[in-house]
Order: sequence, then structure tokens, then C-alpha cells
Amino acid sequence: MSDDARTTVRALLAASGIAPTAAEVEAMIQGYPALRAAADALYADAIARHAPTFLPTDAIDGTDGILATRSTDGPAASRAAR
Amino acid sequence: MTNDHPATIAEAALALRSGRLTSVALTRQLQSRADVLDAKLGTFIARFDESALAAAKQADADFAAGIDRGPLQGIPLGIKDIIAAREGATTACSKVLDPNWGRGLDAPVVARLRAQGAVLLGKTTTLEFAMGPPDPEGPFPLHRNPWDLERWPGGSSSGTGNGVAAGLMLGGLGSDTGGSIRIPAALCGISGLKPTFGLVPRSGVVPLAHSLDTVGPMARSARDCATILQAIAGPSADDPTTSPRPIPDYRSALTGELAGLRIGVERAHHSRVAGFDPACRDRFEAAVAELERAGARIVEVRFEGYPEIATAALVTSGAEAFAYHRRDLATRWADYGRGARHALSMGAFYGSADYVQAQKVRTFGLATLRRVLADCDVIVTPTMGLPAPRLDEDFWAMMQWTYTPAWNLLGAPALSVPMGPIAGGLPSGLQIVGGLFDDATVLRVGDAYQRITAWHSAWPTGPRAVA
Repeated sequence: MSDDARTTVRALLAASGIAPTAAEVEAMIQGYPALRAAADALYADAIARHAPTFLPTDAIDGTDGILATRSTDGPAASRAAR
Repeated sequence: MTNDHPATIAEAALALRSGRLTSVALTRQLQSRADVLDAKLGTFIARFDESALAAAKQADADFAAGIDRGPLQGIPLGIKDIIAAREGATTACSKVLDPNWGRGLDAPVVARLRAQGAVLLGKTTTLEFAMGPPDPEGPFPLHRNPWDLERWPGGSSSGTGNGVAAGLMLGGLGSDTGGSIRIPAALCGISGLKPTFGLVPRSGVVPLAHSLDTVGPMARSARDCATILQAIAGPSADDPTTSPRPIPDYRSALTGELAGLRIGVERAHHSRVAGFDPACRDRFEAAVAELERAGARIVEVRFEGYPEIATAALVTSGAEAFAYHRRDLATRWADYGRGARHALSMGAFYGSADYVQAQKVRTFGLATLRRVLADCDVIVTPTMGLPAPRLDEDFWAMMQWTYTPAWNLLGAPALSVPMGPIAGGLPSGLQIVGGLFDDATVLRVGDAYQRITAWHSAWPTGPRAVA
């Protein structure tokens, strides 16, 4: 595995404050190039590159854009171990 | 295996109204069955035996008094354990979730089932926080496939899936962020609907990815799924993402009629992909032929950008799930199961631009869906390109042959119905995808297919099936 993948994975985990075991970090390093390549492929499509991104107004019903991202936690006030 | 009670909600509803069966008798039958089989299957994480019997008695008393709350009255159902129900704690099969989360409260979907007189048998197992591979090391029941106990039933709505397939319940609720209803439906040989995003409230449901999560029905037949959907669909003040649009009569849409309906067949990114399982391809082509013989007009369609849309779904779910779990992953890493923490951490490796780009692909995908559906009324694909994997197989390798997440990104309704056995006699699924809020047509096609086939009526058989 390239040093780039090792450096990137370790940096991103550290930035998130996550501390997996050494074996888990190694598994993430092994999987990272494929994950990165898949995400990078989203930029290669000329149509998607020029398509407008999703906007909050898209959440108004009656359009195709119903995919609002507002919180739906509840009914309990408490979330997972916050 | 066989069953000693009505197999479907529709059959049980008739029997309850004819006086041939009481809800108490039906509930006791299912509880006795669970006494024997649950330890083998890992279906339930909590059983509500006493309250279920009380609800069944009430249903019978209502029938006797001439009160009929609808087709779910007296029907025993299971609830995925990420959905709050007042009888007990919600765990999400995780040590991390606050034990007080949702305690004593019903999610709107549960309250709606209860108001219709349904009998809630208990909470069913899930993958931890509805994500990642099965965890044999964890403290929660390991769910198994009733067709082969050495195999996975699919997930994350695993307990509802294997419970319906093994006859421990007549139906139930699952949730679907990237296929968590449709995958267990396909692998266990039952029916499962991911409704249109915004049709069913999600409040009182432990989130995974806010813009993708959907609650939906699982049952033996598309007709039973329509019955459950009818009960749980509709806006809720608790959930601002629900649509205010009127709810159609889903069961009256089940005409059995396919004449003139245009069914788009997407082979280009599914059954024509190199390495696709030939047995699954044959099953899929047989299903298409059955639909054509029943009067549907078959149209070849190609969903441009499908691979990018599927990837954008994974980026979106990864980023949204990571945002929800980041603080807990940082402070309680060891409390998560090994597979779940690995899966949830993948979101750390996507950048903000990746997420934005995924939403651009989402817009592109919605335009593509609209364009494809100009030429057809529904799209059919295989749900999965392989049978249920063994519990010790590489979980992540399976994802290549999973055809469900793209439709979550687009919010479209998608139903999986059994389309017959593939390798080793294991079930496979036919996925039927429709336009936004056209869940009725999706159910209509599934129901019509089940009127001309009997795959949904099959009980688990084989040398390693549960018995």
C-alpha cells in the first residue's frame, strides 16, 4: 500500500478523533484506495459535474426533490448516548 | 418446514372475521413457534408476550362487539429494533445507544399499527445501528437464514425478514437506507417495500442517514405489504420530511391487471454485467417473461449514470451516518461491534466536496429517473445478483451484487418479491421500482406477479433449513 494512503487514512482518523486498533487501521488503509477511486469517479461524469446540487427548496413537495435532510430524531429527547 | 396457521395477513384477516380463528389463538400459535425456532434464527431481541396477548384479547373483544378497525386488527406483527415501541427499550442491537432512547413512547408508525388493532409480538434483530456486517462476537442474537442456518438472512432488517419467512409473524416493519428491507426480503424469500421517501414518518426511528432512511413493510405477499403501508403512510407532525399529499387506497390498486402496463427492464447495469450469476439471470428473464405473458409490455431501458448514482448513495449514507456517530466513535470505540465501527468510520474518508458532488449526482439521477419513466411505468431489476452468503463469507464482496442503494438516493419506491430459487435452492428477489409516490403501481405489479407465480408461498426447505 502506498505511503499516501497510510498518511491520509491516519490523518483523517486523527482529525476525527477516532482511534481504531492497529489491525483496524491497516484494514482501512487497504480499503482506502478503492473507496477514494469510487468517490473520485463522481467527478468524472460531465453531466453530474454541471448538474445543480440539491437545495433545501427541493424539499418542497410537488417536485421530484423530496429528499429533505432535516432531523427526524424523536420521539425521545435523548439521542444515542449524547 | 410447514406452518400451522394462516400464512398471510389477508388469509388471517378472513379467518378472524369468519370466526374460524381468534387473534388469541393465532398469537399463541406464533409465540409457541417462536419458543422453538427463535433460538435457531435470532429473530427477536425482545418479545412482548403479555402485551401481545392483551392486544389479541382486545382485538377478539372488538370483533365480538362488531368493531372492526381494519385489516390489521388482531394480526401479529414484528417491529425492527430501531423503532420505538412503548413496551420496552430500543437497542438498535448496540451497546452505544442510550438505554432511555424512546423509552415508553411509540414511534408514529407503531402508534398507527396499534390504532388499527395490530398485535405487536416484539422487537426484531437488526445489524448494529442498521449498518455493517453481522457480528457473531456481539452480545445480541446472531440472525440466521431459515433456508440455510449457516447463511445470512440479509440485513439490516434481519429479524423481521427471517421471522416472516419462518412463520414467526405474519408481517412487520423494517427500515431501508440502502436496501435493508429489500435485501432480507430477497434472501429470505418474502416481499418487502421501501416506500417513497416522505411517505412514511421516521420519527421515533434511530437514524442512520437522514436523507435516505425509510420505514416500510415486510410480509409474505405484496398484498400484505400494501395493507401495512396503508396503515403507516401519511404525514406526521413529528416528521417534517413527510409529504402532505393524500394517501391513495393501495389495496384497491391491486387489480391483478397488467395489460398495457409498460415494464422497463434494466439489464445493462445488472444481468449483463460480467460475472453476473447465470442462475440469477435465468430467474430474472423468467420473471420478465411471466410479466409479459400476463399482458405487460416489456421495454428495454438503460439507466445512464447508474454506477455513479449507486456510488453517490454510498457516499451520502457514509457521510450522514458518520456525522451522526462521529462523537460516539471517538469516545466509545470499544462499545461498537467490530463490523459496525468499521462501516461507520468509512464516512471519515469522504470529503465535504465528495458529499456535495454526490448530491449533484442525485439531481442528475432524478432527471434520469424521470426520463426513463417517460417510456415505462416501472423498472424491474434483480434485487441481488447472488444467493444468501454464508455467515463467514466476505460481507463487503457481496455489495458488488446488491442493486438497492441507488433507489434510496432517488427516493423512489422499490419492492422486492420472490422470483424463485437459485443456487442451492435459495431464494432470489425481483426488484420493482416506480416513480416518486407511485408506490401503488409498484405494489400492483408485485401483486399481479404473485397471482401468476407461487414463489412467495414457499416455505424454507432443504437439508440446512430451520425445522
